[in-house]
Amino acid sequence: MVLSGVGIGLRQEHWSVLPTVERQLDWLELVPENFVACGGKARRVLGACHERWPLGVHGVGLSPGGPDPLDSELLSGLGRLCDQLGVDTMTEHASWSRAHGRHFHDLLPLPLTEPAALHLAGRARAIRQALGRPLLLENITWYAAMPTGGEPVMTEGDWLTLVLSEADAGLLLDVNNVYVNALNHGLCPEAVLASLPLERTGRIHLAGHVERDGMLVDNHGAPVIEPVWKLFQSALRRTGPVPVLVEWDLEIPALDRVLDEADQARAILLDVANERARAASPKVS
Amino acid sequence: MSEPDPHASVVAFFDRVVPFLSGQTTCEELAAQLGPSRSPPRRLLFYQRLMAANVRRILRAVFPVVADIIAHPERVGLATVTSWERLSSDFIAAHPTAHWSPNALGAAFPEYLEARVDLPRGLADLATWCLQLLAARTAEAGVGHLAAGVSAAHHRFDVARLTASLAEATPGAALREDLAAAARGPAIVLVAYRLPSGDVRVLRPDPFEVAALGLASGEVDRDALGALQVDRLADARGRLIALGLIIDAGECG
Repeated sequence: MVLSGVGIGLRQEHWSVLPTVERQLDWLELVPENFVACGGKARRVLGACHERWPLGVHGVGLSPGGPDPLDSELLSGLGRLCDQLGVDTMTEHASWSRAHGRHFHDLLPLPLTEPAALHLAGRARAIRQALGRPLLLENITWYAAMPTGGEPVMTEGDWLTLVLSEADAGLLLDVNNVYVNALNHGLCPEAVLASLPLERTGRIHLAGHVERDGMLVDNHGAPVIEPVWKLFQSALRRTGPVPVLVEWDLEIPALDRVLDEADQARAILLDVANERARAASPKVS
Repeated sequence: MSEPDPHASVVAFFDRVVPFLSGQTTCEELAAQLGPSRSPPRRLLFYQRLMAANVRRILRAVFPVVADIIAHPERVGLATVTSWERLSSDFIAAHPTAHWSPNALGAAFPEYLEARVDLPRGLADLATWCLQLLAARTAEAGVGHLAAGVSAAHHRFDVARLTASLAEATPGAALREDLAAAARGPAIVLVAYRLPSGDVRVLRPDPFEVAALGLASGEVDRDALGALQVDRLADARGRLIALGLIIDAGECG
């Protein structure tokens, strides 16, 4: 199932209205853990959405970078769900959540070192092989640089480049995360963006954030801000057209408000596509 | 599916960072073990505090009545024993869970409360009731695992919505009032949960309503209630029917 255009997340707050919405919506992304082994109303809503839109999945529970063995039961459930929905690509995060028998229920950063990159890459390969489909890994927000134990530190761009090349995986580029990380660590967002392996981008995420105690926190609970829209436009100019998702996961507003954000993303997507078309067309003197 | 053995520095990282994130070691100890972070200590502490907050919020979402009583024991005539923060932290240290679903985080919470002799008796029963309500509501939604990331970074699991509904369905204020009333003297507090709607009703039944419930359940013989006035018993039964606690067929709701 090929995704294109701009989608939004399938969230329970919108279950009752989404299947009959009349505004433009190009695709939907779901958190697959919420739908493994589901039935009843969840299955009916998912079925109704599946009839109308292409679906993508975005996993949050696999702990790709963790040290504990991968959860084979969860992997099996995710594989079955992807098969049922005709989803051809899995997405997860360049992070870890579970270690030494404890799940932390969050997306935690690894040290930006070569051994950690190779560790994550090896596990990402295992996930890709187990699911039998391509894998995109998302650049996460990291609020602190994890200590490296004396290993040389890499830039985030070099680290992700190594991870994705070794894993033979694609990049799920979260533009808001680029912005939040850059500002939190005193870097230029455009420079951070340029350092990422953008040629591997298979999908883009957009979201809002908040400021707390002098730090930007990626909470997915606010509109996308203007600098992130501009960074998104800049990213698209480098990646070309890829499926785009607007995420709104906290203090979720009415569906129309989320679709307004999707419309704005679509307008930028079209602008950049037109720019590229004009640039590619022969000039008439 | 084969996974490579992690490099020694990766093993060392997890060996040290898990106790730190679990609140068992300090920033200084982490720095001594793994070298300093390029980020200031407060940024590392953000993660330690975030992990503790995740546990508190997940448990509060699943066990709102227990959290209310721990936070405000005076409302039910109890003395302060511990804080929700401390209780959550002690619980997860004793019962860490590897399951990816936050809904599984509190599976052992009733058992843990039961074993804590310093806590008021009855909390374990309330916690069990909360788990039953959670299970019923996930079944009602048709979802096997309503999981949730409740941290700032990770809200996409569905427990946030689920527990918002749970909180609405759970009569926190009403239950507190009834428990407070109970604390002033002996009283029966009836918490009724109706399937499949998940509606919760709280009632302090008077003696006639208790008798009517007993009759409706079939556990009490009418002859045993001979001294009770028939019309007041009928009124009580009517009130219980109106509340949806007894249906006309005579079964207990």
